Amino acid sequence: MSPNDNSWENALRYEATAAPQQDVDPVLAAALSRAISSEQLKNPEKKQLTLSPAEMMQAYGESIDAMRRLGALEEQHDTDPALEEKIAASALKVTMQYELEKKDAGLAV
Amino acid sequence: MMSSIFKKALGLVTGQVVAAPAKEQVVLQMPKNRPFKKRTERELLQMESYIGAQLFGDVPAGHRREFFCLDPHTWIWHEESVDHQTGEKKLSTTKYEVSDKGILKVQEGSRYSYVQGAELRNLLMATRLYYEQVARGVYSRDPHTGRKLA
Repeated sequence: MSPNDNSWENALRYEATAAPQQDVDPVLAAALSRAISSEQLKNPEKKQLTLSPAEMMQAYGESIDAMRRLGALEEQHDTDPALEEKIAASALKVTMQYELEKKDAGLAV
Repeated sequence: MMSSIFKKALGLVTGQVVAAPAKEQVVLQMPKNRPFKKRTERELLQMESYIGAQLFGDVPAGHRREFFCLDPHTWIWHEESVDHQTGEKKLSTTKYEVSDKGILKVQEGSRYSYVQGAELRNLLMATRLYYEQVARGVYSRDPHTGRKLA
C-alpha cells in the first residue's frame, strides 16, 4: 500500500467517515467568520484565503512539532507560551481552511 | 547520505538501530503507563507513530508500517513486510519534504519528484487525520482550536 494506490484512498475514506463528528463551537465559528471577512477585506482581489497543500502540510507539521515539544515540557511540569501560541495559530489556520472547504462544498456553518 | 537520514529518522521512532538484523518482528506499541517516569519527545513521537500506522486500517501480521511527522517540514512513510514463500524482507521508506515549491517525494533508488494529483490528495488527507487524531489522542488538544481538552 502506498499513497498513490486506491486501497490507500479507500482506507482513508473509511477512517474519515468512521471518525466521530463533532459540533462546531459557535464562538469559534463566529471568530473564524470574522477572521475570514477581515482577511478578504485586506485582500479584495483575492476571492478566498486558501492554503496550498504544501502550506497545509506545513501548518500540520508545525503544530504537531510544537505540541510534541510542549508535551515533553509539560511532562517536566514546565510550559512555553510561545509554543502554545504557535499551536493556536496553526489550529486557526487549518480550521479556517476547513471552513472555506465546507463553504465551497455548500456546507457552511 | 539519504539512507543515513532514513535510518536516523526510523531510529528516532523505534529507538533501535535499523540497520541491525531484526531477530523477530518488532511491534510498535503505546508506552505503558509509568506514573513515575516522564515521557520524552522520542516517546511522544512513538505514540504518534502508533496512531499514524493505524490510519490506514489494521497492519497485517508480519507487516510493519510507520507514518509520522518527523519535524515541521518532514513526514516519513515506512513499510516492511516479509514474503512468506521466499522469506525475503521488503523495505520501503519514503520521505516527504515540505517546501514553498511543493511536497518533494524522496525514495531510495527513485528519482525525486513533487507529489501531485490523487497521491497529493491522499497524502494531505492522511496528514489531516494524523493531525486530528494525534492532537486528541496523544496531546489531549482540540485540533480546531489548539486548546487543551477538558
